[in-house]
Amino acid sequence: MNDTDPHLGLVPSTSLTRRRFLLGSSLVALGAEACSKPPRDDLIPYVQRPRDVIPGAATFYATTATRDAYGFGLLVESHEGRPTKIEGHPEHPASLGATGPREQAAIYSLYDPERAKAVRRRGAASSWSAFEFAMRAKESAPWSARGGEGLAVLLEPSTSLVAEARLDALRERFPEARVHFHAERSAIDRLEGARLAFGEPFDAVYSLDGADVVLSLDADLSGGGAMAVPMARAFFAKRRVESPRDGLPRLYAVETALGLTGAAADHRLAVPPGELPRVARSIANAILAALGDRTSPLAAALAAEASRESEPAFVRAAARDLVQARGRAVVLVGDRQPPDVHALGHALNALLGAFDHVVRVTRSPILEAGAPSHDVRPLLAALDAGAIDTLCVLGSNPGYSLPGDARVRERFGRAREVIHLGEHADETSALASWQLPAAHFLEAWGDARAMDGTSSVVQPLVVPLWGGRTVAEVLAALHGAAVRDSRRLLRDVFERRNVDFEDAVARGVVPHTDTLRPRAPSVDLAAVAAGLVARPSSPPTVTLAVAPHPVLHDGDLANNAWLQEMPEPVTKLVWGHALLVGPSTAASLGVRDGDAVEVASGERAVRLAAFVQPGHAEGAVTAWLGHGRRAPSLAASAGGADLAALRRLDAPWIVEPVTVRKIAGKERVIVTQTSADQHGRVAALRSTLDAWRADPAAFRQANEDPASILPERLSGSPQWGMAIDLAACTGCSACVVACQAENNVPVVGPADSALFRTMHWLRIDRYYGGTPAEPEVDLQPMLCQHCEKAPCEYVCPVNATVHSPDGLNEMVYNRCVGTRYCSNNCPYKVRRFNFYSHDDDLPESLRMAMNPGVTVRARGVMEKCTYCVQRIRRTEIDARVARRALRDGEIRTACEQVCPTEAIVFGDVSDPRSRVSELHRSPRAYAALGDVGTRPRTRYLARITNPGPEPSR
Amino acid sequence: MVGWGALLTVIGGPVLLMTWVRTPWVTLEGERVDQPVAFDHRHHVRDDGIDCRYCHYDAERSAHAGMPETAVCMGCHSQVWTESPLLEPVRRSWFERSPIRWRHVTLVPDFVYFDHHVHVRSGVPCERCHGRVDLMASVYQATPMDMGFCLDCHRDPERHFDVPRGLDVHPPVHCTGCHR
Repeated sequence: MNDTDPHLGLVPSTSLTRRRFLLGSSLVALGAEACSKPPRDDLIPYVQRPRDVIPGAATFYATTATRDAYGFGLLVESHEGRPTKIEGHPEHPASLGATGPREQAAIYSLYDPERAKAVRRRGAASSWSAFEFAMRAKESAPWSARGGEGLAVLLEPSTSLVAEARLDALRERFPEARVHFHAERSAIDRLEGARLAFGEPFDAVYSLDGADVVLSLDADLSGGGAMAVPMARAFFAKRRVESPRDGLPRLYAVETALGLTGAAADHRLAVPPGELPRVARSIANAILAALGDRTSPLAAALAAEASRESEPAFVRAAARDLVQARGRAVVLVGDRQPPDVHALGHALNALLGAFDHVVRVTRSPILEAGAPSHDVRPLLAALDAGAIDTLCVLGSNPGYSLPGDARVRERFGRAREVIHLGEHADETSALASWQLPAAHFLEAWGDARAMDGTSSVVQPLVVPLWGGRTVAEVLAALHGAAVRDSRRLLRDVFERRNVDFEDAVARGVVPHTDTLRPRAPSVDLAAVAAGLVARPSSPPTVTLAVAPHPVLHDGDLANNAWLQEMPEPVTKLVWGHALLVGPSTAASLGVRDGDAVEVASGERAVRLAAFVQPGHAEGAVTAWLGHGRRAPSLAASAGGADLAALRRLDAPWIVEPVTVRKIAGKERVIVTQTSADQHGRVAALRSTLDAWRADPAAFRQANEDPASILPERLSGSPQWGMAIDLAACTGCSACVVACQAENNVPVVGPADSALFRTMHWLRIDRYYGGTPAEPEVDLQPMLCQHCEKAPCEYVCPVNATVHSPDGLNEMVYNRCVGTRYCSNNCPYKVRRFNFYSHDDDLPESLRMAMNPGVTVRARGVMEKCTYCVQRIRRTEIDARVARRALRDGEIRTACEQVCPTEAIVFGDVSDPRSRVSELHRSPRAYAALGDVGTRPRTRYLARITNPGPEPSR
Repeated sequence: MVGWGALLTVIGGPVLLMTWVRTPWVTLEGERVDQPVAFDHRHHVRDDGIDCRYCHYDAERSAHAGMPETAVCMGCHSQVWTESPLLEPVRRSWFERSPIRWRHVTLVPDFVYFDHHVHVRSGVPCERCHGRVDLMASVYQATPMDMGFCLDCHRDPERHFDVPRGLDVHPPVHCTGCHR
C-alpha cells in the first residue's frame, strides 16, 4: 500500500500517531478557534477594474473543450479571473448544457501542481525565445534550408481551423516536412468504415429520439464519446415512461466487459472481442434473411460464413426486432471495432431505413480525415531509416501510449532532436531534447468543430499559469509565422469565413455552421461485402481485450486526482487498475479479487490484480489503458500495469492468444463499494414493462409515508426536494465530479480510499441482480435525502445538524464536534467525516480551484450534500433584489445541471405545478428506504426495462 | 473548598470565556486601524456630499461592497489636489499600476456569507452596521459584528431600521441563511 503520497500533499495515514492526534485535537480545543475573528488582512482593490468583473460575483465565459478532437462547448464560471467550475454550453450540439466527468475535472487539470512549468533544453532551464531562435538557426534546424526535409510533426487529431491554417502555412514553407496524426482513441477505423460504405470518410450523427430499437455493437451510449450527450439524452428521454400504457425503446448491447451501455440494455450479449465482428455478421445475415434478401453480394458474403451450427437467441431476437421496427431501428458501432464492422453497421442502417432521420452524415471535420497522415507507421519507418532529423511531438504522449512494437524509445533516439509539447513531464518528454510546456485549453485561444460540423471558439479564462503555449503557437514558431498571436489568427480565420468574430467569442458557438447533409449518399452494399475481412473462428484460448479506461481513457488525464478518485462506474475501482475476469474464468483460474495474475503473450508478460467482474465475457479478460505510468507523478502513484508490452500497432485493442495464470502475491485493488446486493430492501427499484402493466400500482406503497409520532414542522413555501429518475440515469458519474468541483470536496488519496474514507457527497451505488454470468445492473445516485424526519438530527448532541424552514437538512460545521453519531444513524450512509484537514497542505495552485461560495471544511467535522444551498441562497437573493418570485427550474444543483440525461430534477415540492412535484406524483416514484420513516425529500423513479419475449429456439 | 473551587471553574470558566468573546478585545469594535492613505470620510461625505455608493458602488449589485479601485480616486484627484502630499500613495498606485493595500476594518468571520446587495436593496441603511462613517476621521468597526448582532436585526428588522413600505422583509434566521 502506498503510504506517503507526495503528489497529493496529503498527510500520510501512518505518520499520525495516536499521541500526535490527541495533542493536536486538544490544542484546537484550547484555541477556541470558533470564537475568534479572522486576522486583520489587506483589502486590495484593482488599480483599474477589468471589464465584466464584479468582485464577489461570478462571470461565465463560453469556451470549448475537445472530446477525441471534436468540439464540446462549455460555459466556465470565473471569480475575479479565476476559473472554478465548468458547465455545459446549452447552445452547443455536443453539450446541450451538460458535461461528462472529464470536462468537470478539467479545472483540476488546469491547476494541477505537477504541470510542466518551464521550457527545458536537455533537462536544463531554457526559454521560449531560445527555442524560437533554435528553430530559425541554420545549424540547429538544418531542415529549414532543405524545404523541411528531415522535419516530422506528430500531432493529435484535430478539428481546429486555426490548426489547419497553421499546418497549411507549415506545408507551404516546408513542403518536404512530414505531418502525422495519432491518438490511441482515434476515429481512423470508424472513418475507414465510412469510406468503405459511402466512398468518403463521413461522420455519422445519430438522433436516437427517432429510434425504437437500438443495437449497440460495443458502442458507448453514455460515456465520453464526442456525441454521447445528445445520444444519451434522446434515448433515455424515451425510456422515462409516464404511464404503463406508454411504449419504450428496446436496447440490445453486445460487449466484452460489462459497460454502462450493457448495464442499460434490455438484452446483453457478452462475447470475446475477436468474436464481436462474427456476431455482427450473424445479426446482419439474419436481418437480410428477414428482409428477404438472399442474393445480393452482401447477403451472399454473409451467408457463406453464417453456416455455423446454432446462433444465440440474442442474434435472432435482435434481428427480429430491428426488422420489425424498420425506419425506427438503428445499429451503433463502437470506435474500437475494425473498419468492416463499421461499414456493415452503415449497410444495416441503410437497409433498416435509418438514414436521414435517425442517422445523418457529414464530411468529417477531423483535419485530413481518411488521409494516410493518420497512420503513424510510416513515421516510425522513416525514423528507422534515419530520415528524420527533428521530430516534433505536439500534445500527445506516444512515449507511453503507443504499443510496445512501436519501439518508441529506440526509434525516437534516432532523431537528432525530439521536441515535445505537453502539459506534464511525461514518458515522451523524458525522450525529448526540447521540453515545452503546453497551455491548458482554459488558457488558450483556438477553435474546434463538433461532429456535426458546428464551429465553436476556445477562449482563454486565464493567462497561461506556467507560460504554456498551444499547438498552433508552436507550429507558428516552427515555420516562423508573421502572425504569432493566436487570437488574431483565429479572427483572421473566422473573418475569411464571414463569421462575426466578437459575436462568436461572446456566444462561444458559431450559429448555423453544422454541415449535416439533408440526404445521405447511398451505401455501396457491394463494397461493404467486398470489404468484409475473413476472420478465423477464435481458437479456444483466452483473449486480452484492451480498452481505454472508462474515465482516464488512454491516460491523458491520469494525473487528475478527481478522476483517479472517481469510482469507475461499473467496477467502483479507484486509484488503480485490474484485470477484469468473468466469473467462471476466474473460478477456473482459481483467482479472487486482488490476487496477482500474470498475463503473457509470447515471452512478454504483465502483472495485474485480478478482479472478478460479473457479466464479463468468458474466454476473454479485459485490461485498461492509462495505468502503469513511469514518470514520477500522481498518475504513477495509482499503480497498475502498462499494457504496451503486450499491444501491437496493427491490432491495438486485442491481444491473442494470451495465457493468464495466478501467481504468488496480492496486488492493490481499491473499491468504494463492497456489497452489490440490495438485501431485499427498497433501494434501486426496477420492473419490466410487462410486469408494470400487470400491476401499475407496484411502486405506490413505497411512495407512501408511514405514520410518524414525530411533530410535523415543515410548512410554507418553498419546500425544496429532488427527483432522480433511475430510468434515465446511465451511471456516467458526471454528477459525482460536478459535486466535487462545486462543493470543494477534498481528495483523500489511495491509502484513505482503501479505508472507505472518500469524501464524495454524491456517490453512485451499483447493484447486481440476476446471475453472475448475466447480471442485471442497477445504478443509483445516492446523496443526502434531506429527510423530513431526519435520523441524523435526533442524535446530534450539539445541534450541528438541524432543519431549515424550507426543508433542508442543514450541516453547521462550526457546531460539529465530530461524534459521528449522525453518520451511524443515517440509513443512507451519505455523511462523510473529515479525518484530516485535507486542504491544509494543498499546493497553492489547487487552492485556486476552490468555490468561494462554499466553506472549506476542517478536520474533525461531518459534511454531506447540502442540495447546493449556496446556489439556492444565491438565486433567492438575486430574485429578492430583482423583486420577483423564484421560477421553477431557476435553481439547479450542480448534479442536476451536469446530468447528460436530465435524470435529476430539483425544485419546490410545495408547488404542485413544479417539475419536481410532478415527478414525485409519478406512478414510478418511491422513497428509498422510506419504510424506516425518514420521509426523504429526494424521491427516486423506478427503472422500467423492456425485454422482449423469449425467442423460441 | 475543593468542591467550591471546582464548581467555580466549571461554571465560572465558561461564563468568563463567553463574556470575554463578546468584549471589544475580541470583536475588535472601535480598534484603530492605520491605513496607507489618510482618507477622511468626514471631508468626502459631509463637505463634498459624496454618497457611500459613489465609491463603494458594488454594494448594490454584489456580495462585496467593494473597495474603490485607484481609478475611482483618480477620477477626481487627477483634477483636484493633484499635488497634495497626502495623495502621493494614490498617485504612485496609479502610475505604477500597483494596487493600494488597504487594511481590512470591518471583520466578519470567513464562514459567514454576508451579502451586501440584498441588505442594501432591503433598505438597511449603511450606518446600521458600519456606524456613522461620515463622522469618522479614520474608519473603525462601530458595531460588534458577531452573530448576536446579526440575529437581533434578522429576528425583528422593524425595530432596527425603517423597512421600506410595501417591502416584505423576512430575513432568514436559520443556519444556511448565512453559513454554507
